[in-house]
Amino acid sequence: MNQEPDYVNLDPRVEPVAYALPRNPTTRRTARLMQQIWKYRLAYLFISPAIAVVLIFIGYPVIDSLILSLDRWDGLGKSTFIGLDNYRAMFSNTSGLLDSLRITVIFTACTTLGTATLGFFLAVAIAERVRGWRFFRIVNFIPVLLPMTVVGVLWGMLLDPTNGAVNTVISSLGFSPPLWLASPSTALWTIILVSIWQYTGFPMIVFLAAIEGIPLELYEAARMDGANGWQRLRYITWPLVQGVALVLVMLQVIFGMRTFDVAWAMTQGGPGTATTLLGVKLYQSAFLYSDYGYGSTVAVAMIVIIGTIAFVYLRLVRPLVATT
Amino acid sequence: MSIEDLIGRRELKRRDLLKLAAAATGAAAASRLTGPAAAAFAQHAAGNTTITVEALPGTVGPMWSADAVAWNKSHAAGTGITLKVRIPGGSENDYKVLFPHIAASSAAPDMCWYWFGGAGFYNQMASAGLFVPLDDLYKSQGWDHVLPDAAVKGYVAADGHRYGVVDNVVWYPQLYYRKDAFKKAGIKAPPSDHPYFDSEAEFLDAIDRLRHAGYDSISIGGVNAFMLAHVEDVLLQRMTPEPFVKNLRENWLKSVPMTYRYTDPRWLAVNQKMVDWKNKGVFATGFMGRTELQAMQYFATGKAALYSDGSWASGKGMLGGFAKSLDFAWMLYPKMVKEIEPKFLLYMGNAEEILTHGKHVDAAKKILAYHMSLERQTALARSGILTPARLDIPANAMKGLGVVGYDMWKQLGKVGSAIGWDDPVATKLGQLNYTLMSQLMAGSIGPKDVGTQLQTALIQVRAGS
Amino acid sequence: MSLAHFKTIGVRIAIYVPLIAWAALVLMPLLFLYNNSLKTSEQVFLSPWSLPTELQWTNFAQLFDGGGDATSFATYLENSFIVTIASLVAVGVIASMAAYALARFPFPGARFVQVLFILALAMPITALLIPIYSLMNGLQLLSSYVGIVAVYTGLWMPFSILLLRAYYDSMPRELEDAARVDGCSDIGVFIRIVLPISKGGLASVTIVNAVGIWSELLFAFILLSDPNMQTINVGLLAFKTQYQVQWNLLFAAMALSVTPLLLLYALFQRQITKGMTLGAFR
Repeated sequence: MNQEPDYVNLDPRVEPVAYALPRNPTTRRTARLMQQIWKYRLAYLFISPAIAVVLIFIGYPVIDSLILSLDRWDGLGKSTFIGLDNYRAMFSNTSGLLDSLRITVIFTACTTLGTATLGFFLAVAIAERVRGWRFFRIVNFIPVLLPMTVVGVLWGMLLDPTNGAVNTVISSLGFSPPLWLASPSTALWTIILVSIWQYTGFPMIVFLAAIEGIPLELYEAARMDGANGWQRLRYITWPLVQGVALVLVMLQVIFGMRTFDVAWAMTQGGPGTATTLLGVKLYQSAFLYSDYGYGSTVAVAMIVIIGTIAFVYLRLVRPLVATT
Repeated sequence: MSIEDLIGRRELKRRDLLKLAAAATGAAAASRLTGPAAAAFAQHAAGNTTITVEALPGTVGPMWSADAVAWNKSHAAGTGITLKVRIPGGSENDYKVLFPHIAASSAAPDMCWYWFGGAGFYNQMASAGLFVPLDDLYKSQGWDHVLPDAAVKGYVAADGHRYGVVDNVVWYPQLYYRKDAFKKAGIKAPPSDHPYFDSEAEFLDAIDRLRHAGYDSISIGGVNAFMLAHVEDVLLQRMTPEPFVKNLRENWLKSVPMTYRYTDPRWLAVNQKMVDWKNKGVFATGFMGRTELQAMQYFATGKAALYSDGSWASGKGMLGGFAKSLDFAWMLYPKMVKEIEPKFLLYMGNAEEILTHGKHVDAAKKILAYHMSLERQTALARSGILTPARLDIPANAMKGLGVVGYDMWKQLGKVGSAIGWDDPVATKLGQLNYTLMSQLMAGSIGPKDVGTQLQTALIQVRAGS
Repeated sequence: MSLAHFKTIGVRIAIYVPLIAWAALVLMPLLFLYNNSLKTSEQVFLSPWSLPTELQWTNFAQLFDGGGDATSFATYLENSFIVTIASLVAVGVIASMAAYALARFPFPGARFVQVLFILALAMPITALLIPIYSLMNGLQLLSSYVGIVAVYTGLWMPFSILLLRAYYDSMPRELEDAARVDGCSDIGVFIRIVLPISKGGLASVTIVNAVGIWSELLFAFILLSDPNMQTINVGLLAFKTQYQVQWNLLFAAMALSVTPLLLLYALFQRQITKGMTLGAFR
């Protein structure tokens, strides 16, 4: 706390808290802390509404889930305390949780990589003002706007193994087309492709906003120094949007890990369990099997897994950001 | 500042537009916030009782809307009861899993439409005390005598009470076929009064011939696993004795002895048959990747010769609506075993309930009696929206069901009907079976795994979970 | 970095072919959607890829008409607008303040708060549904705009804060320091310097949130059980239900639901990019 950057200043209209710090080290630390808190009271004021709504609408339900994971509850009647039975069931071999986790990790890794990379290059192209950039800027975001219902209907019809437009084209070219959603071996890849198609617009505009926020002078200067397009991308654009990219990847990973709707709309987790993501598993256990206790257990597992991934990720990337 | 001012200024700023939008939103919100309260006050002042019934959109909603128009016109003044229909948006799936929670909250309506049996959450709602018992209405209205036996006896709750009444019936699964395909393949379709092939061999031969004639076989929506479970259900009826199915249908209740198990070779044989059929190409290419509606489309657009679905598929809102361009008829799945005659499988879970959270139980009962009256059920038949459950409806009124629907309905009595397994059974078993059917047809598990997993779940359910 | 610098045609092809291919892939559903919204139910079902023989504008008239006890789409649209705009304003104000505090002040507990938001984001939405429902039932906030707006504000908060914070972190601080030297207070710096500079970030967060809130289904269905309060994406599912599908109305309703978002996006995305083409440089 001693090396506060000097750009953080106190409100000059308020007298600094001026009293001698006590000698006792503990009280001394407490006093210092109190001083710090008073110093940053504006920050606390600014952040408290956000903390309040998050605690009410996310914190409370999470605690509710934790408690519920120790119960058996059908969603309506009285719940019964059953200790760790739900956790035992979850860790048993037949629960299919590991398989679900594997599917979810593959789904998350591929969609994150796909959407972030594609989105970045689309954003760069628009920021570079390629011909028709206004058109691309609008059009590329369209899939994000479509409700999952329409996406499910549309891609379901397009990818119909025998009746769909995609396979009609592939067969007419003389290839034997994949079965897409109909086969357990291709269904997961199909929903990954559909997800990339649908959500690439999100990283695109996030990157675009970040790139457009870079002062033009930097590029001007680079141009004076004779930097080519690739060099400017590598040495100006990328370092400056890196922070946003890292957060974006984290958000995409978290969203990927808790995905439910695309799998539910397109395959309902099938064929078999080929696309039963953790989110689908949770929904099935709680809402369909009306076993809310077990559903909460899956939710708790998801929070632990996603939280761990987020922290490992942040640990790994923080040094990278610091060095650039 | 007026809009003219804004437009008059050369630089119409987006910020101004946003401000306008915000103001308009605010005004609209204010009017909406006060609206319902004022209306409720006016109603209260008039000394009226309003009964709100919640109904699924599509078919149930319009059925109730017609009732509301008729009731409010001729009975509202005399009884002081006004009938109001609440048709929520959302999908059938959302309604199924979320309505039980609404029914338990302060937002609960007086009455609702909700599925009887285990595929929904009827049992949980009943044991949570959300429903008003209707035993007295069954007696006073004589429902025991005018509704199908299975609808009266099939869905008695664990505590012995009846909390709902079936207002319409469906039967499943039928095979709808394209007449042009059968003609081209040179197959003589079974007649209406004997609507099935007499052996599995005959049936498989027909499938082969259709394939040779360039058609795909049975189109079925494997994404909606309940469609696969319907085939399982029909094979259970065709291949196993009735007492066997009956016991398995009921033995999740502790009071019923566990005479049969899911590991019984007869149960496993049914699941094995599904696998055999799949391997023989009885189901259309890629069926596991199609939803119910895609499967219907595959059939309607002429690629598949057969389509497997319930009676609803012949209705106006589905295939029946395309009658101009689609010449199709129906038959049942074939006879599999010599000594067991094929029957229609009836689903009688489309039921009406009165909720304990409602404030006017007596008034709601009056409305429910009216809804189930011969007059309203006949009107329902005429409208062709749904097939009424009452058995005493004049036959000519049933023509409202459309050509195919009416033809099937006429044969119901002659061919006979049975009750399937997957609807009356406990939620957990029914839902687990959907997942298992999908896995079985995807080839990731075998018939034995289905049996073992169902049996494990049965023991858990019986243990009182 | 203008294209003049790319000397070869090969580079141009490498840039434009994927761009156009992607745009085509992305544009297709919209054409499919609007095209089918103007056909009859039979045409949509039996020949989904064909053009309409006669434009069925009556599809839209039917939506607004409601009919029977069905809710008019004018009501659904109005509800969607109220809920979405109110939620966006609440999220925008609260999240930008919080993100500013996190990005600029190393206050005791800042790390903890950041962790809290990341954990909150990790929570699967479906698991929140029933606890929030019973909470809102207890608070008597079912079927009310206040209730759903509060819930959406909470649910969209962690995401918005984390993303906005990333924007603030990536912004140079020189301007803020200069303003402080000129005697501007922290609040003044936030309002006069930070917000205007970060409007691109705020706009992108708002657009993404708008899409999510506008299309949210589960909470809208359960918290707004009164059909007169429900939002458009909940309403349109009524055309694809048990025993019946009205294809034409389903597509017309979806077109109606997507169009305002498209317009909103068209309006907001200009905030993201710099207004003018920047002379020789671009």
